[in-house]
Amino acid sequence: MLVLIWADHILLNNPIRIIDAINWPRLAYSLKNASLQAGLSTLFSLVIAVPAAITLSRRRARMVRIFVLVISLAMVLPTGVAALGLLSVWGRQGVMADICHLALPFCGGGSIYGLHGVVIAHMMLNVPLMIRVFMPLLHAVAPSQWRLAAMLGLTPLGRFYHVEWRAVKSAIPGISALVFLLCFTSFALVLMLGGGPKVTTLEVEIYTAIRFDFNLSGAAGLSLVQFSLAAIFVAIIAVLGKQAVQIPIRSKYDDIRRGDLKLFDHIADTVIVSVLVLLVGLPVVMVAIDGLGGGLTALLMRPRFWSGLIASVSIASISAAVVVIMTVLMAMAGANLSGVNLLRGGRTANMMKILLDAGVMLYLVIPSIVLGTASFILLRGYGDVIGNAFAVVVVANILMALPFAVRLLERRMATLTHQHDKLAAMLGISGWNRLRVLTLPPLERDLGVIMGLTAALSIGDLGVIALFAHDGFKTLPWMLYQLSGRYASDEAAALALMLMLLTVFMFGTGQVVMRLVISGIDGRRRYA
Amino acid sequence: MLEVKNLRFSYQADVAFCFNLSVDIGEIVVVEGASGAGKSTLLGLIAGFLSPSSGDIYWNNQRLNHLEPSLRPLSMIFQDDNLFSHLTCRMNIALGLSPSLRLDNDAWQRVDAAMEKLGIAELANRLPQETSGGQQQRVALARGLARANFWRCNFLEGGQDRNLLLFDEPFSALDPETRQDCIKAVLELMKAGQFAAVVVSHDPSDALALNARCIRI
Repeated sequence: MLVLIWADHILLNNPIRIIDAINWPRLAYSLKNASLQAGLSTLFSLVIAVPAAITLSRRRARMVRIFVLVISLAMVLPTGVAALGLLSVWGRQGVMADICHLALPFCGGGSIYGLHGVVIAHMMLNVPLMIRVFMPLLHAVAPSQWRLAAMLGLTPLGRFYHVEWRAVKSAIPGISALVFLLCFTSFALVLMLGGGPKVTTLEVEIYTAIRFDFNLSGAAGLSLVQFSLAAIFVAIIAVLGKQAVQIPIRSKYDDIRRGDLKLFDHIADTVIVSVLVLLVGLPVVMVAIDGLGGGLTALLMRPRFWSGLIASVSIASISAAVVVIMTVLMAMAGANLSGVNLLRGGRTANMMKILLDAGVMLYLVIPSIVLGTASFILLRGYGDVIGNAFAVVVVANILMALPFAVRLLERRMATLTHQHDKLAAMLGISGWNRLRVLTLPPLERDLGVIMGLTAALSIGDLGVIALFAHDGFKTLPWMLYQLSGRYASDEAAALALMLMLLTVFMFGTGQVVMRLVISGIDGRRRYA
Repeated sequence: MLEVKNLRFSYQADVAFCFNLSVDIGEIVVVEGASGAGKSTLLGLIAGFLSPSSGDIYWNNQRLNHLEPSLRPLSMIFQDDNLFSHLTCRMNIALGLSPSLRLDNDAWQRVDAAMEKLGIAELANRLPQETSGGQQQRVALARGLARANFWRCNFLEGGQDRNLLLFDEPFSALDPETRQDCIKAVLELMKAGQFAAVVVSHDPSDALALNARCIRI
């Protein structure tokens, strides 16, 4: 679609006009600024995530598991909500400013707006993601390696070097490249916390070109630059991701007593947990506290809130359902193509698998704002821009969730497919029956997570909607952005709380719905 | 001499173990039992990876209960993953003598002597993944030998040698030929120093092959 749009735009307009329309000094500045911001966000996220993963993986108390769950919420937290949470903690009127003022009365709270605010916000969202990547790798370390470290009397530093670092280091290049790309293409957080044109990304520049300057040629040119850079990053991620060592989980970690933990470890763990609480936990708690203030009633009285709620829930539900169907189909196709490739060495199958993988990574190459720009230009030429906004937002959300969803399912699907191949052939189970009886039931949990995750991500997305929102069509994240910009702080806080609860609700509901759907499809309820 | 007296441990309320055992210097004791009988739990308690709810562990009449694993006079050889994959075989043995890998000439000589004794001198600069399963077990045994009298446990009265060897199913993942080779290596090791050894095994023939006393739990 994007190619068509560009072809159309370049054929109808002089390509030189597009190049001329780009503000090159501004582009160079935004590239430099985005690179610095993304580099710092990735570096600091890594510096916190590695020790945090080590701390959380060696503690098995129930409270720690709950804590991991709470910080994991930040991964699906709408960016607008995260921004408001950070303002409540680190802003001029925030908790930290109050504490600072109490301790040192002459000390005033600093502003969160600017590069440091964006970096902190990105850390809040990406540290939990990195922790979730590193923790399984640490859990997969053989028990005898921990025991060996204890028996040999390795110091905490020695244990880190010989055991923990070895476990996580293979994943660092891949996850760092992904986080860098996510920060480099960040939109909503930079818009809300950037504090003006000084801190910017290409996405914000594209948004400004369309929404404020109405410079469509400039936006198309910037989209092309963004597309090219993102494609390079995705290629790097693909290469680095392949280098990551897949470590099998060999034993339950719970039954190993870590006799090697020393006083230094306990102090380090306390410091790390405190940093996580300040960075991730406290903003989430503050969103809840602020939201229960006076603005809730006023918000619920607004008809726009209810229309926004209906639009957001509809977008999230449709996106989640389509993503689940597409993920199953794509993962099945991938598994079958791998099987053909393995058994017959088919070059065509291999080619198709590469194309399929490339398709999955599409969103990472075409971020939502670029997709939005393309859609905007296309619809402007051939149809009704505003009338098709709902469909464009749904498509953007589907593309946003697909890479994560397919990655989540493909390995399990491949294992299942190859595991059942001979048995299914012998019993004559194929097609829909195989999917219904053999494939979907074992994937119930994974598909539930995919549905819940997609619904949660979609309900909080503030990407394409920024280009298409109008009086007749608004989503809750867009409303939150507008309210927070108008200093309607009580209502914005209430809406942030509603959005956060809605995100959790959609995540949970998605999983329940998926379980009901699969138990209905495979007929368990009929035979139970 | 190792003595384990009324050593009690429970994972949950309904799974409880009680152990009594004594092993003389120069003796190998093979502990046999069904899966879940607590064989590996016994080794974990002696090594200090698990805390007993009651009972005592003595080494040459000195109580070990309060000591953390690295301070106990023992070396343990696991079924697998005995070596760090990023260190060469020689460095893996050296790590047994100094956790910071800062060794003087005397220590390096001891490392090389242990490798020579176990017949793995040619593996010195190889990474563990470049060696066979049997060779990896030999490297772990060489580390046990090198540790034995080098770094005396000065926190115990009189400075005890690290002469207690614990083997957690060391042969079960090996093919028959490699298994024979490893049994030979253990016997060589026992001859090389004044060790007491506890071997956990599923295979009844291990006790015979090691010329060991067998106890069933």
